[in-house]
Amino acid sequence: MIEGLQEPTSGTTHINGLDTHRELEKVKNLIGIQLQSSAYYEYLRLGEILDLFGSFYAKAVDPDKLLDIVKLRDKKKSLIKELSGGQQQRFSICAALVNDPEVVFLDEPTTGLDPQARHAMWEFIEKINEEGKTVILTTHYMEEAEYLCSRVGIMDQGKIIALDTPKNLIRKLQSSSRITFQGDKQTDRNSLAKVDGVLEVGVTGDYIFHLKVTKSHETISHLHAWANARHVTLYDLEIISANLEDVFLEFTGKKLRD
Amino acid sequence: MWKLFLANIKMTFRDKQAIFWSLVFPLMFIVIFGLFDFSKMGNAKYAIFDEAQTEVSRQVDEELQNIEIFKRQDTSTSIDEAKGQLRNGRIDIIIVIPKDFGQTDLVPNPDATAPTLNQIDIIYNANGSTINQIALSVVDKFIDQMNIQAAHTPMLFSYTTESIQTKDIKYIDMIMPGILGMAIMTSAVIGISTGISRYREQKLLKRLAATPIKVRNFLMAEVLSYLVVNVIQISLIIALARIAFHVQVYGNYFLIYAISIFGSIIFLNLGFAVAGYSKNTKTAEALSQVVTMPMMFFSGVFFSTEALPKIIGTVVEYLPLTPMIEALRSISNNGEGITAIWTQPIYMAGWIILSFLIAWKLFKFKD
Repeated sequence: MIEGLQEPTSGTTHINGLDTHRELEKVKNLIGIQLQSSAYYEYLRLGEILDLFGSFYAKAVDPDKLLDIVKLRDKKKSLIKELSGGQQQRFSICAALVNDPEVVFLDEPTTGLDPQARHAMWEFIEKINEEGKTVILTTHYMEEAEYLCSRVGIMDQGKIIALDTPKNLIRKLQSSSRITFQGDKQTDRNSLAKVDGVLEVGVTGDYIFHLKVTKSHETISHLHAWANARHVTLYDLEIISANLEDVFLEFTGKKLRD
Repeated sequence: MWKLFLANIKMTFRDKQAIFWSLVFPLMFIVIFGLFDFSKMGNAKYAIFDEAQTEVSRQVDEELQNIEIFKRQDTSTSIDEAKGQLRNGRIDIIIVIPKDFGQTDLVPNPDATAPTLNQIDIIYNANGSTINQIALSVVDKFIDQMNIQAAHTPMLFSYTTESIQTKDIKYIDMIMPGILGMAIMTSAVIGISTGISRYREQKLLKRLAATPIKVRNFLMAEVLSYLVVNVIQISLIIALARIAFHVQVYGNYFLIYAISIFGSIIFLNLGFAVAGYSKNTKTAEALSQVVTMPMMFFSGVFFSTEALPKIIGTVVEYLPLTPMIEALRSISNNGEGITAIWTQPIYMAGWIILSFLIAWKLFKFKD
């Protein structure tokens, strides 16, 4: 909708102070778009496609430079179908940059890529960001958002339900980290739950205790005090700080929905 | 827009399927129809048994041999054998001139008021009616002449013949303008409809909608590049027909190109309409066949529309391909100018407006 591809039912969207519907022409020159599963011309070479798409805009970047960004210079004379899936994704990223846009929209740029290709893609996206372009990225991968984004918005059923830096979002969680350790038969679950900062206690398998805690650095000393008093050894003690995945689940609920 | 236009042409030439349908396919038709010798098809083979061997009977024989489409077969030795050949289709007509033919007039029959001639037997295959008509009329003519001679009546009516050298128009000359029309129609309708719906399916249209390019310019580039391909088509078809099969073009080449381009616009519009109407490429393909196939057969690509039943003929007159082919044929075969064929372009202009409105209604750039 912000890209001007869909009519809003109500309300307005703005980029750089421009109404994206009333001033769509100007907006289109400002933004670059990579669409999920969008094809380019079948019978044009990569260089020709970039050249052609560049001609649609008021200003255009040299195709060679674009291909360099995503390391596809040597494929300049290839057709799209001769590229691998990852290369096609990379190409669609650089095609979004033909007009040297100020804002770049990337729609799930790493979906379906193997870990190497994904990390390479992250590198490219960081590079684009470092050049001073705003990158708006949609993704299902929380570690991707956490790694790449300075601000994360979580959308649920068409509404933005959270918008902040990844760290702040995590801090907003009631339980910002988890502590796990292995105890034994004698470990008293009830007294454990009463330790300061512990929100929830779970036990799995071989007396592995999972604690949901608020501030791990404070809670951990309380936990030690509790352990010393009861002569409990905290085997395999681990503090795991919460990540965006936890944020996402907390905000959107864990229920599976269609 | 010009870059897109050039890119479109480039893509057409890289797309082997597009090249096949727009260039190779019509050229194949020219070759096939050029290689057929249709003049051989209408020949009538006949066997003649001249049992009289008189001057008159030999004259009959000679006269028949002078008729171009009659080919005398001397393979059978008896009338019965010839009848057998007639039954299995190897010969079409048997003419038997009886022994006493042409003699009766010398010995008037005392019982009759006028001399009677012994009859010539003509045995023919009931299926080849046109050819038999000609054979019968030739024989008829002789009998008339002999009747007149025998009755000693003066010739009251007579005629002279004067032949005018007309253009020698072969079947391939007639079919070439038809192929032009067909090639332009199929490449425009099928090309545009499948091309655009493929773009839609691949989300290329959506990707283009994200750029500042104007829909008008996109469509313009598509149309112009197809027109260029059409000009190449026309040139290749005419060149092949002329060089390989000596097809004569009597009219103005410019007019042929103009009419073709004019017609192409109708079919491009129809292509856009089909692309707009169909949800995916498969439907677009099928639907464009539905649009083009009937016109290919009924609009006079391969034969004149006059051969069609009257009702169908009237309907067909209003199809867009019909006036186009009629105009092309008049220009190419008869060398007619715009003044002679002006009604056809007017019909076509009507179709341009109508097809544009249909396309306008059905075609949407976004999905």
